[in-house]
Amino acid sequence: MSQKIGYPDYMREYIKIVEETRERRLKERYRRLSSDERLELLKTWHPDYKEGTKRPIKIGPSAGLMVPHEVANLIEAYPLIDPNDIDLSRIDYDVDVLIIGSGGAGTSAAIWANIEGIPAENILITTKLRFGDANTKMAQGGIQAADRPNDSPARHFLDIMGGGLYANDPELVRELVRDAPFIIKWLEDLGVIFDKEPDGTMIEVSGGGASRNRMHSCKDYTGLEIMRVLMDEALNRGINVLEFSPAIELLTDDSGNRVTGAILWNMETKEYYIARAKAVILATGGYGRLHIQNFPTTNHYGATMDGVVLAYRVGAKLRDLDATQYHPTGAAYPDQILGLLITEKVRSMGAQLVNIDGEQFVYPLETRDAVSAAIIRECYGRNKGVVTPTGVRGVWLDTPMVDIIRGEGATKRYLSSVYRMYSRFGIDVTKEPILVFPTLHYMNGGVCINKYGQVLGVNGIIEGFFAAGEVTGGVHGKNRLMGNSLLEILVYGRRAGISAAKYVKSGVSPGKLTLNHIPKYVEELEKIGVPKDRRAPMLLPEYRGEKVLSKAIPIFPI
Amino acid sequence: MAGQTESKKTVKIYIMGREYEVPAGITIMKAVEYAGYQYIRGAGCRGGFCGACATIYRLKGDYRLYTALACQTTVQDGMYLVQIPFAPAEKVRYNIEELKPTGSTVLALYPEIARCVACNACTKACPQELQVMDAIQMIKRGDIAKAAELCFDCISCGLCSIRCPAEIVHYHVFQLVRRLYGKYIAPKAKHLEIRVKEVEEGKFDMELDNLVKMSPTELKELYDSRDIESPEG
Amino acid sequence: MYYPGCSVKDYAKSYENSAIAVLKLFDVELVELDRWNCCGVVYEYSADAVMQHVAPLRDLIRAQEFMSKIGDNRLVTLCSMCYSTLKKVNEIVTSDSEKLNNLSEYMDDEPRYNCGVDVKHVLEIILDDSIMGLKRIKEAVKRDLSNLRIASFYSCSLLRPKGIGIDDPEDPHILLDLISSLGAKPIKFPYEKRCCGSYNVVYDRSIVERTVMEIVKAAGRWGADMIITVCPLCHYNLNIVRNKFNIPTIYFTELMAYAMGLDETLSKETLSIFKSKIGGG
Repeated sequence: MSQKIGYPDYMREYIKIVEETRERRLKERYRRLSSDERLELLKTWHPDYKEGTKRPIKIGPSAGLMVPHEVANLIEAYPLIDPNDIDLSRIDYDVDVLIIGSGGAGTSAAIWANIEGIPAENILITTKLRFGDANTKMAQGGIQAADRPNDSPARHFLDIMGGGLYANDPELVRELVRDAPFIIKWLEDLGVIFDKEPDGTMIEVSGGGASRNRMHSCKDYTGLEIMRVLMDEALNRGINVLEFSPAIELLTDDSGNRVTGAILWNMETKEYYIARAKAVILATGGYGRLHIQNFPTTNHYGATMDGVVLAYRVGAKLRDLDATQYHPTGAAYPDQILGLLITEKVRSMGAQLVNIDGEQFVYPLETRDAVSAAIIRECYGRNKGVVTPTGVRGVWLDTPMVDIIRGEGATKRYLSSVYRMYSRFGIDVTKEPILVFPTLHYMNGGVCINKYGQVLGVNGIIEGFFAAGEVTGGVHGKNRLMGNSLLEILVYGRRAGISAAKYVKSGVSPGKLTLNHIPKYVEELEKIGVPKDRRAPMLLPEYRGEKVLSKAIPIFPI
Repeated sequence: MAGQTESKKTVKIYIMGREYEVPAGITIMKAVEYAGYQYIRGAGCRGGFCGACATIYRLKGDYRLYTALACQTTVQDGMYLVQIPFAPAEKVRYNIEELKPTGSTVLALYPEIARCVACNACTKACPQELQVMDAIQMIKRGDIAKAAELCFDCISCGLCSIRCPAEIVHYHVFQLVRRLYGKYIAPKAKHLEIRVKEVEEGKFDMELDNLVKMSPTELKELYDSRDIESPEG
Repeated sequence: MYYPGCSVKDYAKSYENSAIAVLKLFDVELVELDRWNCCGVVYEYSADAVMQHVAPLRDLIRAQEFMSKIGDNRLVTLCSMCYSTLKKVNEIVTSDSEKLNNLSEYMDDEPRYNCGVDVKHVLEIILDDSIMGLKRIKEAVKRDLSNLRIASFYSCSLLRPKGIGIDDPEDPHILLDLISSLGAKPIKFPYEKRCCGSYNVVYDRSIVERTVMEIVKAAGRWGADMIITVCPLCHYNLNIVRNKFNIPTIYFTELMAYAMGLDETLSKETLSIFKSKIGGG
């Protein structure tokens, strides 16, 4: 294949320097940052703290909340539909539980609603792309749970709070760590293939900010393996999935404090459908395709923050949207894979981050925000990054160290997706290091929920409305740890599913369908002078023509 | 060795027969978007994990049929391409709790496996370079464990199924095989069972309740002084 | 070199266990190919000119690759259908170079087959005096089987077609010879070379049921206690009616293993069959 070109000569020269220092570095352990040092590093070099990148939301239940401009532009935007054009009397789908989003959170919510007693034919998952097209599939490194004798959920709790800069909702964190071992067991019983020792003991690796090695993984396809088993189970149970039909607006009743359904839109035929549901679960994921601060992203094609927009219009509170997670190791070379995720597990297995001089500059397993900031400082502050032929800056992730430390064949076996990704371009990661730079990865904040997965508005819970997964905020505070996202979607997907089922079984009737919340919202938008051509939800990023090239290089003048 | 943008600035490609000139060195997916198409079908994770962008193409002057993932493959001059966003197939429904982890179980649910002629078209089509035919063969002889190992990196793109003369839908078969292995053949984690019981019995509740009540300052003190296990274990 | 085939690894595991153990007694080691695929016998009977040969040819190429590792060009199989398919294709490509070219061009993902593999059925090894032979088999017998009356059932693929079959298709005798040398009483009966009905059991079971009824009934009329066979499919088909006539069908290697006291290679079920037949008669 003509694309197997490997590294250009000058980069090979830099690689020689990395090879020269490797033997010495194998014995080196870079010093960890103190809490204060971490904060200082973030304030100076983390993109979240850059001037002029955020503004406060001007309207709605969370007015005053600081969010990136890209986020504010979608929240302060007009609906895609005009209520006068919509015939709400013609109901196309009438179900007990409507789930918006079919990633790990949405699918586990559906399965647990079914386990809790809702018949499969009364559950409907609606999704923007195909069933399972979500960030879940691309999670690679692992899922956390404190299930070894030298570990405990309390320890896990502490790791999460510290990682999140203590901004997390402690109630949500408690439930997360308590449910974690059960979730792993549930996955094992479903048939998920975890990396295990011959006697069945889970192989658990370290992760950034975790004080115990508790990442359970399925090679480096953890998210894919979990997602496809969940999909199989949901389909076996007869749960219906509507594909290519995103929700473009929620429906509320006269009280204004209950969600009663959604308007779905067939992206191919351009028709809309009215879905009435006793309970609605929002599981729409993150916002990588907003390319905040022009960063490339690890996220899937549909990650455009639709759910936050829809929830805000019906009165949901938001939190921590000022905390954007940049994954430290996004691919920086070659251009074809720019921004794609290189799992943290590579560092868990021993690879170090190294600058152009072949020296370490940060402990590889600091929390993600610290490592990202350190890499940006190394490339743009100290000018010790390597520059690719297309002008992208990056540092080395010394992948050959993995086989040296863990034994020959460890990379091919446990990091087979990284190996494969690079071999397609003529690079053998067991022999040559790879170039990395931070990439937009995760939405730390989002819609406010309680520990039952119920969505919270200004007056407490919004009836009939639940949410789970990346779309929600509070679990991770200002910075999520590796392996807690896969955990969150399953823990809270399950809780939302069970809560929704209990709500339905309590004997509620379907609610009245109105779009009353829309004119109110539109009035607010007009008051602050939002241009009429700004509309949301975005549904798909605009990549046609030259635009697809412009996302290629993150311009980062500090 | 020349860099990507040196030799030729643009290449000619044919999207469903229509000619376009696109920048050299970009992926097929980006080239299609550059040409003015917005993906609705045919794009998923854009990272090589979901199989949404299965692509079939030929090259000028070459009769052979090639397969690729659009998001992971660079455009080539003279590429005639089409994307297959969906491989038609019925997914058989079953209750995993009621199945035995044997070759006959899989054969009973997907009997077309018996028609495999070992023609290897599936292996040749696989963009993940898996030993697809060998995996099917393992199922035929009842070696579920080996089959699960061989098909683990499958992303269900469906290119194998499209090319198979025996009309096997490999990715559905493989999903069943992997679940059977994970549930019945892989040894169970005993420590996990113990911990689940401990949590149920409330062993950690008091400690957690205390932590939940703590202020950020108190938590920070605990956090800064906690001992950290080294990555080597 | 040893080519197992699909059935022997799953349904007919006892065939493999007993065969390997018996041969080992005579210092014959079966070394399994490190990579092999289904022989494709189901397609062997189809009308296609290329597809039917691809699977067995691929196995011959595997054997060719494996040959250099163990320094022997003989590929031994247990299942007579696998034997028949592999041997047939071997003959075809060796004698018809155009066919070999055709297939090689299609299978361009493999090295070219240079016709150096010799396909053998395990019976040929067993009856070969330079390797095992009836005399040495007789000497290795530990049990008195004189009470056992055993009918021979050859399986069509072992006897036909000409040039592939390893015994006279009109008047076969090798299994009878084997039974005698083991000390049991051989029963020759007219349906010993009949087809059991083969894969029809999958599509229309009644066809096979009718056939095996006749076969096993006849074996009984001629005085047999049990039937031995060389093919897992015959084994399956004949055993459909075993309880009706109280005449079970086992693999010939199981008989050999029992005669030579290799009880640990036999299933509990097979052992109890022998016990009941020898004791009661």
